[in-house]
Amino acid sequence: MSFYHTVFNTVFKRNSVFLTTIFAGAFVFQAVFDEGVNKWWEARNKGKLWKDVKLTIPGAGEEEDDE
Amino acid sequence: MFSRFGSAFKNSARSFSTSAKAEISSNTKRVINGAVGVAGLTAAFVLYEDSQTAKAMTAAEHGLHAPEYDWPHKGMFDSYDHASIRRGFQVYREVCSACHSLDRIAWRNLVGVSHTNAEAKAMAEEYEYDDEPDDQGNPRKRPGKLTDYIPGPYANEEAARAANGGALPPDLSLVVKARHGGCDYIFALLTGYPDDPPAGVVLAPGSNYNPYFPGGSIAMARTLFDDIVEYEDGTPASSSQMAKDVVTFLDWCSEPELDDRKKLGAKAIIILTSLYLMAVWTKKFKWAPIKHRKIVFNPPKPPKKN
Amino acid sequence: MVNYISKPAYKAVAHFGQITPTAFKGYFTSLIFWGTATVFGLATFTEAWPLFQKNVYSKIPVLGKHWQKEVDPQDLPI
Repeated sequence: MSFYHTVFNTVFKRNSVFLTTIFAGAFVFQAVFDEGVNKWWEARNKGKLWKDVKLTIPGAGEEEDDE
Repeated sequence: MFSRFGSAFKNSARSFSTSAKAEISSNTKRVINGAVGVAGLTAAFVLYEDSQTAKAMTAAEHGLHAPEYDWPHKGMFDSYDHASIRRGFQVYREVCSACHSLDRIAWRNLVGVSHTNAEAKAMAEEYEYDDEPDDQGNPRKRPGKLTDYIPGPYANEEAARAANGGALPPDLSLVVKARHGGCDYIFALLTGYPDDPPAGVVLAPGSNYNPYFPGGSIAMARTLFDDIVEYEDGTPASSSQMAKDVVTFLDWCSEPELDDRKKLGAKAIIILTSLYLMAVWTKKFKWAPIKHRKIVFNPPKPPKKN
Repeated sequence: MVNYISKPAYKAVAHFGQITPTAFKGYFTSLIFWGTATVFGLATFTEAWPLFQKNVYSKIPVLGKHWQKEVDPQDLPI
């Protein structure tokens, strides 16, 4: 019960704080979510993406990977 | 005559409604029986005639169905294998481009996908493109730039047909999308040339047998033989490896947005699923008191009888 | 003689337009909160704007790397 009280008092009590929470949440969420999905995508397709393939090309990447 | 039909119909209708005895003249009866007979015989004749010829194509005319292959980019969240795209472009350039054009792909499209900027520039500069005319109006040539499109082997369709015995090699930019079976079909076609056509198959001069091609007779001969290409990354250039690579490259040509599309799709699925679950939760939250309420009717007690 | 007071001695409180120090003090907290809300609201809607990405958002301490786009020039078709 006290948890809900805390949430109510910190977020919902003032309309301005509520609105701030919404906008700050949206702003932070989209950045974090985007980064997270990109990380997952790159981990899942590791070795197939251009940024990984580029390293195996002689003379093109910074270092030559032996993969 | 029509009025007689009408009255007959009216009479029969009345007979249904009032169950009175129908009064149809013998002439009307004869006309109806005759019409039914003629219609039935005509339908039977048409059906019989139609059954004399079979319209369905044989399996050979349809072409063999290609088996389903496990492409590296087949799954819902699987990107292209860009190393394969790079090798596939090499195969296209050294083998396919002798006959097939790739009109919709510019050199710049390869940058950041299968080649670096410098590599693509170097390849483009190997070709000459039309430049602006000089002061005298004479046409000039210039080396290619990244914004130029990959040149085709022939000047126009007629030249292509003339060089290939009347058969036009299709442009490969969108060929994976343009064929039933897509990648599977093209891979099966490229690797599916038997050494000899089966017994009894008669081919027109200049055509080759391939069971995956509808009709079995294709103008293109087998082109991918082991080790006709030497891969820079040391991958053994077997004919099936080259076919896989070139099909991956052609699939990228027809669908270059695939990687971004799948990544965006994953994001959309996650967001929409969460929104859906939240909507379900909200609905339950709002409706719970209404659905769980209990309506009780307490009737007033009847007055006591004395 | 009796000194009559003919009218009250008006004294103007220091003000800026209609806003007096007392009124401003009363509104101060609210204004801070609403200002923060406005800033984040603007941030949400300008997030995809390259000008803001380059000058503002990429300089946010931890989160900023989301907007830092370092592309190898070899990967750009220019």
